[in-house]
Amino acid sequence: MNRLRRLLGFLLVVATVAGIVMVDRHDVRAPEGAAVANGVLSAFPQVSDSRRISSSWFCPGAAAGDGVTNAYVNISNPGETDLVASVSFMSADPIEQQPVIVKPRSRAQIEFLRGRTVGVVVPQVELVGTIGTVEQQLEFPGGDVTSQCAPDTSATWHFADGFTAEGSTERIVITNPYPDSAVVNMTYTTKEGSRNPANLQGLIVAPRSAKSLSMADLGARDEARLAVSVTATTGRVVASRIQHYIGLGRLGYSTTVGTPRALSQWWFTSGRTGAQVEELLIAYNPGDELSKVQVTFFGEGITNGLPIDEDNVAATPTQEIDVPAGSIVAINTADVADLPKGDHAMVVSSLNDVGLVVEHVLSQRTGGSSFTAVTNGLADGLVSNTWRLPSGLIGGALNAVTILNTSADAGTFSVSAYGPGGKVAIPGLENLPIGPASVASLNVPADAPVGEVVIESNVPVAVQRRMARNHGLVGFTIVGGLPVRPAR
Amino acid sequence: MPPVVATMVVHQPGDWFSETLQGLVDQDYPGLQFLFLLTGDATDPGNQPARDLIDTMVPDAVVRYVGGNPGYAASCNSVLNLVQGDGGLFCFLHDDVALAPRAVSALVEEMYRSNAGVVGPKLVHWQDPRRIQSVGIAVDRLGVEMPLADDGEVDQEQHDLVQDVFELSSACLMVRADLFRSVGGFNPQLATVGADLDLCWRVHLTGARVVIVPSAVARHRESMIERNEEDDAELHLQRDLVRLATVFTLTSRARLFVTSVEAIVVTLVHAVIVMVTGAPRRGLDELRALLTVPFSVGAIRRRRAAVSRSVTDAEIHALQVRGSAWMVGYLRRRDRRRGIEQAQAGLAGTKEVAPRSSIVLWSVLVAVLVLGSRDLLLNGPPNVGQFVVFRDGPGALFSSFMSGWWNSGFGQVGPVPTHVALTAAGGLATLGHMGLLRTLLIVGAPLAGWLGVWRFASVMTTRAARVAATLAYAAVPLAYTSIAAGRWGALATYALFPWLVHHSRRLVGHMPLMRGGLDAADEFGELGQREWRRTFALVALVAAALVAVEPGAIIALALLGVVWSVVTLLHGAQAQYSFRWAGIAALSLLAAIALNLPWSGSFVRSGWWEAVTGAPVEGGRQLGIGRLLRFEMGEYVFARPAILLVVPVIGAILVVRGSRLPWALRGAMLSFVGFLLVLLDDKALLPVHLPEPAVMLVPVAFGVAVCAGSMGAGLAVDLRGGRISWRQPLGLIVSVAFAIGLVPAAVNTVAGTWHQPGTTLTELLTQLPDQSESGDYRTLFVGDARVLPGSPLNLGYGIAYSVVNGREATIDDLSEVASTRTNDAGSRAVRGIIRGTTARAGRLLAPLGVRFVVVPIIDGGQSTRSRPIAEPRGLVDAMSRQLDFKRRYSSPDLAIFENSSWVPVSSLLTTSGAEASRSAGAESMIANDLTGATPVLPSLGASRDSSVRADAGTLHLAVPYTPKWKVEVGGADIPARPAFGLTNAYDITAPGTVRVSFETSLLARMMAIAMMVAWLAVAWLALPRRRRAARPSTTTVVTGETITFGGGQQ
Repeated sequence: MNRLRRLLGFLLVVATVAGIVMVDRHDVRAPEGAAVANGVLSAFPQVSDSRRISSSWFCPGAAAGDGVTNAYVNISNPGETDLVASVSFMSADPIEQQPVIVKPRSRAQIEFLRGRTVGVVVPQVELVGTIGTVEQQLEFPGGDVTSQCAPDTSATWHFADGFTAEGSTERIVITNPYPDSAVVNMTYTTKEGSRNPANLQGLIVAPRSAKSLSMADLGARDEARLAVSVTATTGRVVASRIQHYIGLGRLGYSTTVGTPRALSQWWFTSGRTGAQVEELLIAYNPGDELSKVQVTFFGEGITNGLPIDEDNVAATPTQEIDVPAGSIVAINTADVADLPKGDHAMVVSSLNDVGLVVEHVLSQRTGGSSFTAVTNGLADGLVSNTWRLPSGLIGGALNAVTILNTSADAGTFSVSAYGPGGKVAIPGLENLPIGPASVASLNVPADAPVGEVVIESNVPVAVQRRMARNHGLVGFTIVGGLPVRPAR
Repeated sequence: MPPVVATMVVHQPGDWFSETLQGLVDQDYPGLQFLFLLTGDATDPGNQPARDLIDTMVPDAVVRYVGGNPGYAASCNSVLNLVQGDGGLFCFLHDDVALAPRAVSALVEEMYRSNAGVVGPKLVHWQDPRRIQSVGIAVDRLGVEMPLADDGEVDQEQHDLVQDVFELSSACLMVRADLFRSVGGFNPQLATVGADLDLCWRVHLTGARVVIVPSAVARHRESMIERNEEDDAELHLQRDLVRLATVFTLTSRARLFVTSVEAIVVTLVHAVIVMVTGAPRRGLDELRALLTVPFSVGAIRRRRAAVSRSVTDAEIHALQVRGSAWMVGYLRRRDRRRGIEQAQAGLAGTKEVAPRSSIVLWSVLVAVLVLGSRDLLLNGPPNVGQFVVFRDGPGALFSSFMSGWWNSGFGQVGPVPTHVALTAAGGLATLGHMGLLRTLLIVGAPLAGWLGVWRFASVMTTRAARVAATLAYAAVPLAYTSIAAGRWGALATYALFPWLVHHSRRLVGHMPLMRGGLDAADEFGELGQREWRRTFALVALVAAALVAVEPGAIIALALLGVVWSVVTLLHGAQAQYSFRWAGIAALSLLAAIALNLPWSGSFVRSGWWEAVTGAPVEGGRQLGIGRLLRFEMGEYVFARPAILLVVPVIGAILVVRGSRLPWALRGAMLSFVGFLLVLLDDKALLPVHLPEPAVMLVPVAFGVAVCAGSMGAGLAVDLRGGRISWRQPLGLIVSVAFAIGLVPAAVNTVAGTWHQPGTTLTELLTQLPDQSESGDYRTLFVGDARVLPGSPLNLGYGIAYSVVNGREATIDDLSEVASTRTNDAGSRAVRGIIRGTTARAGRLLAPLGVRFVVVPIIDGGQSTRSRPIAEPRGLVDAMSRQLDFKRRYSSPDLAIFENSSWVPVSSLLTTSGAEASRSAGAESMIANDLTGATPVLPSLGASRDSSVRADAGTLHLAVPYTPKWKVEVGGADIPARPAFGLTNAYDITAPGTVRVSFETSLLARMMAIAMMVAWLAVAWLALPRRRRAARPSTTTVVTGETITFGGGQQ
């Protein structure tokens, strides 16, 4: 009996020890912590599909003395209830705030220069909940400008394209929306190379204020290539660029928030080549390593230099370009062999995975006039099945939206708009097919609702719009859509 | 021949009474008369059998009823009235004394031969007359008795010598009638014990002799204890009380001062020794008896005046034992025990460790504790981990407990945790010195745990088992690292768990093992009903106290119940004993929960598991099997050898045999299963998380101690004297490994602080402003649950948060509060930060009074510089994205952000803030900047009213909305309204004196009182009650005809 009991005891003990050994061999994953809150792409223009308590929008702002007639933030509320918002106006003066209620299925326009004649004002919009979206719109006699706003701040911002040639002006506006001062370093790069002027190191941006810096005044005068990097060593900021082009083939006004980080792939859907067109892809490498870049074009009749292959539907890159560390390389699409004239889409990829910042500059001469459209690339991680266009589309506009299927699968897409009755499909823009790596350009029916537009596809797509300049001016500006990121 | 009246006091005798009477009948002494004094009265039916027996067997006896039960001494004194004449002798007898046929004759002869005043027979055991019960008693100056023969000693005529003794047992003694009358008989106040010492001492004072007559023999059944309602412990106390009273009554005036000093010193020293060596109650009784003396001064003086002295002190001292009878008795018992042990060792192969090993063990343990805690004792433990400073005194804590407002985090209306009341009670015990209480609780907890193991290990009978078990439990680093990390829960579990197991095993019925028992079976027995009830009350009380401090300990108790139930069943014990383990564990848990009502009722809600076990650590703690095996839950140097302390777990199973094997298996399985669970939890592989490992490792450590104890018993019993086998070398190896495992504990005493940190999180937070400067505020701590003060609430993703009032946690904050709207709002805001769904968490937290947000990384407790717990990924970055957070401080230890939108806990809102407060939800907070509110009423508290002069406006209290917070302005009530859908607002229309108070409901007050009454009632049940027997009548007057010596009745 004693032996039996001892044996039983042993068996129990051995079983438990075996369990302990097995458990000890098991590895577990560390929890994710707050990593989600610090997404690497969080400062790129986008909207989230997840439920949010509030969303913040940091717009590029406007300079009161530049001849801007009106400066608005457009707050779109496609929802079914009032949207509560708060707009803060940041400048060199103390911050001011204004509560706003946006009615359901409508848009509110908040003028933010508010009679100022000098200085820069940067609007920041807080929206309660998930529904609303925000864009900035400037009325300018030389062409209206619609700009996207950034949904987050960042410690770094880059601008690949800059231009101060022949009296053109370029301002970098640094906004610090936080209650702590931010300390910022700026560098800029020209054809001659990178510069770190002492007066641009350790710039202090006061809490809840905006600081405007004229690149010409900072030593970058009369530069046809001017890339800028802004790095906050303390705090986080929003950096934007306000440009007025008046020389060397460029004409127009442009405001945009910067690119918060260098990436290895950028999408553009509204490219164009032609006789009166100069199309440049400005690639800026702010890092320390050389980046090897290829550009791939998409569009009707484009083979990227290869024979037509029914099976190989995805385009093949045609160019391989070195972008040395700390330098700017302008890729002129006119130099690309076999690229047909006309519209196309592009993707700029780094072959060695060294990040860079790419902007698209399209200058076109039409009759006696000309225009310049400068666009940030769409970040690769943000191509989405759903896109929102907060400012909507103008009825009857031609080629107003270009959509690139970034996948190798054929798909369909539909375009809807919000009107007084809610979301409605735009006639003729429902379930349209889109081939693999194909581009679709849309004409807007004349009777399309004027509210926010939603593009939904069953394949990942990239979307950019061509916005009218108004005031009877020819040409357009190019603005990206807002990709909808699925809930995480 | 002098006439003798044999006087027997009869009190509900048993079957043996006929033998008693037969002894009297068989006496050959011719002048013997019989007087029976029956307790109660003639109408008492219980007396009829005894009366019938007397009438039958001793028909010429005189029978009288004393009425009631005045006690033996008072009953005997009846002869002073009932028997006339001084020319005879009284022979007083218990009713369970059977005289040998010539006993009375021998006593009378020797009385005359020795010219003695009092004589007594040799008392032998009733069942076994070969064993001596008493041949007289020696007594020292302090009245401490030392029997001349050991009880049970085999009678080899070694004591058959007529001699003077100081005291004779009152069971049977013969006294001259004139002497008995002259000394006034027995002291009638002494109902149960001490009457014989008192009488004999007074006889000595008259110069008469007290002589033992071994040729007279009487069998004594000692059935008084069976028939007495008082238990053994009560008799000990009574004996001590009477002894000291007798000493102070009968010592001469000249010697009184010296004797008093002697009594104090000797009693104190002896009490301490007795307590340390495992009989704490005995020691306490001695102290209690000593402390009672001053209250008896009046009675002693009256008695002293009545005592006549005919002899000098020197003559009395010559009759007494020189020195201490305790010491002499101890030495004699020790020699006797050694002799027995040596004899047994020869027979059964047992060699017990020397008795001094207990003293050495406890001396070493106390020295280790004092030395290792010296800095804590001198300077107080720092505020690390859960070791919050007890700022409020007992009064404030009791008020807080009674208020029904739990000021933890954002506060809530509801029952205040029981531990607040317990701390208040502890504060009373230390006369309001809360710092002292805190230090004693922290430093004393290990000692309590060791004593618990010492008591528990008594089940294994041998001293070696107790020493080894206690040593093992003391050597595991759990207690020291819990002190280092500031873990109240772990420390309380370490201190109380062994006591719970000890008393639970008594309830189950486990009895101490037979020494040397070779059958591998348990020893079972049953407690008496009264003792069972008392023990269960004790278990309930200890479990309730433990649950009040560490609710997660219920898992440890459940583990014990389940594992030992299964092991007991598998080991072949009767199923009832197996199920009792589970049953007792379940019952004690239920009782603990019941005693913690109404607070424990707050656990009935969703999220109750986290409320019980604490916030989980997502992804597991990842301490690793090595640290867990070393019980290294905090800073500890030279820890690696401590892993050897678990070697006895394996060793015991292999080496131990006989009746010790079940305990070895129980200990091993408790250790293994407990450790497996801890390891699974460490890697987050369980479907639910467990309490912190420092709590769950207590059963493991206890299992190790049980194994070490059974190993110690095995070494003493199983491995001695048997034939040489693999067991002896294995036992030696295990012993050496265990000895090496003890070294780290010794090494860690050197620091003097158990490695508590020099700089704590609280100290780093002293840079935050005082609340009196800018109004009450709250601090939100976000990070890994292990480093957060207060009671963290888990948010998922490896992140938890806690909220404290001001800059450091208080005792209120140590338990997790139930969900309220404000808690939910706080959780939503923090989740918004960590999920990136808002950049305006500051505005969401503003109406909740949150001014600072702290991300602790190194708290000095569980996270140290040598072993930091990393900040949850990206947390500080996520904080940095908040548009209202100013970074106040940032270092590798912590990051502090200030919420620039904060509103003081009690404040007058700005106009826009007041307008915003009328709306609910995030809209009202995010879209409006509430800054600019004016602080009012600093130090808002539910247990006191606050008044302040204030302007008109909206008074905002950052508490969950409740109308129980009353605001009066100029005596007029201002109605409360919800603010922001969360908190309280009062619209004050005109300036005036604002008075804010909390209205405690009658129900809340009644429930708090009911809880305290329940605790007191259970404590009363649990403590050994001193049930006083009905005070005897001191002037017993027995009515009826008198008798005369040599004659009949008159």
